[in-house]
Amino acid sequence: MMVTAPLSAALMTILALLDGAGAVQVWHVWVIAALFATVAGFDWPAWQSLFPSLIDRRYMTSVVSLNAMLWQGRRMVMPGVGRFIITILSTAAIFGIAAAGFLVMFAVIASLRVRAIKNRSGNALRAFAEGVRFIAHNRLFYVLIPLLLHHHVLQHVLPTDHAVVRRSVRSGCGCLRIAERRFGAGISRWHPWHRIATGLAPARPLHAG
Amino acid sequence: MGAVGATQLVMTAMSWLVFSLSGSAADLAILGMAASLPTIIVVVVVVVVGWLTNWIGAAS
Repeated sequence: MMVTAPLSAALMTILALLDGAGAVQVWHVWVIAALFATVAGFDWPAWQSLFPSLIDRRYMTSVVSLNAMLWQGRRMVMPGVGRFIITILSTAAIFGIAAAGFLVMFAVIASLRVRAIKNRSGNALRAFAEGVRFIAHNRLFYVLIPLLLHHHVLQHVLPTDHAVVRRSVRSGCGCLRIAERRFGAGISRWHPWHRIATGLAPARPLHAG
Repeated sequence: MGAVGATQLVMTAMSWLVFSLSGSAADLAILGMAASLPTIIVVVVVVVVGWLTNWIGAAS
């Protein structure tokens, strides 16, 4: 996390500068999104493994519940906040704010005093292998891991929803569409019959007027 | 909390930016793939490394 936070901040700074200078292209965003996701792939497990070092074992259930609640809360609230910031400032401002946020996170992590947890095996790789063995011997994970992956993939399908929402806003039924997005009408709306039924116009750049 | 909040903000802004630039839903889909696949690949690589470590540990 001492590495991933500055890396994320650097990626966001690059994107903010490109966007702010008006030089950003679609492929820039793709590349930075891919790099950002790669960093997140290391960051997320690190976050999860940090909890046992910060709290007592008897509070673990409460902490996991609170974390899950905050996670879902952020997912509901932050896109709205993002839309507000885009309206009054710009997308570049969001990338700048995110970069600053990652730097603050780095400072917080650097200030944490984490007590070391002694591995039973005494070796980080063996401890990791022990974890994999534990997962392999508990069939519950055979369901939980595919579910998590499914959830993760589906979450990233949702950006295409912006296309529908933004076109619908222009066509005058924005509130309905945004409500549908927020409360999850399901992936079925991507079927061609739905697009035909709702009469969505083909996509075109917003700056084309 | 800040990290995930920032990530959500960034994904919103990236989607908005890509759609503003191109107006293409396909470009948004590619963005979704770019933001999702690396994480999955990293997880798979980590699992494979763990399995190899386990196998080497058992063999030695």
